[in-house]
Amino acid sequence: MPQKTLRFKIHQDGRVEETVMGFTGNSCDEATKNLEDALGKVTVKKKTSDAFISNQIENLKKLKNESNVTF
Amino acid sequence: MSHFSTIKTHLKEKDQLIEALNNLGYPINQEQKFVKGYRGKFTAVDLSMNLPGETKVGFKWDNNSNAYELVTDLDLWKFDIPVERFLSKVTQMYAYQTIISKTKEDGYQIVEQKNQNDGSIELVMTKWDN
Repeated sequence: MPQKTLRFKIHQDGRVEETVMGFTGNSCDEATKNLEDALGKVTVKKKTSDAFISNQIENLKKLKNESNVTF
Repeated sequence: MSHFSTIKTHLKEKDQLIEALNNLGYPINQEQKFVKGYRGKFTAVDLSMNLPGETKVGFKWDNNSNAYELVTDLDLWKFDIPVERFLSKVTQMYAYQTIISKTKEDGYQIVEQKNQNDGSIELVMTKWDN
């Protein structure tokens, strides 16, 4: 049961910085799509470091499955 | 996965815009459907307000930008903050209201809210996965 966290910084001019954490796979994009649509236009989007890490783990798992090697 | 996004806020949803205006203490005038806009020309608006100093302001849906736009006669602007500041206050509050209502629908709870010295609002929401 991982905890999902949304963190926002709403600037004085209305610009919003959003950090989305604790999601698996691509579900983080789904999680905030409605909100982003209602807010306006996404100008910058990047995967954060833990997304990179979980990607690495997924890649490793994939490699493991594909190569059919038991560790 | 996680992500980091920057979003430029547009006033897209009427309900949240009304809530934002009410929250800032600018009550909507239900009767008035026209506001003097550019060059004093009366313009049909979707929302209108009387700001202090008899300054009349409206918001009109714009199909090009797909958002509500401000309508006012700048020559008659007597409110104590400049029009740009007024619009950013409304936009910031709109973003706040939209975040609160959309995340609530999805079952998130506010765990932290801070007004920072730079005038920004910080919010943290969490939800436990089922």
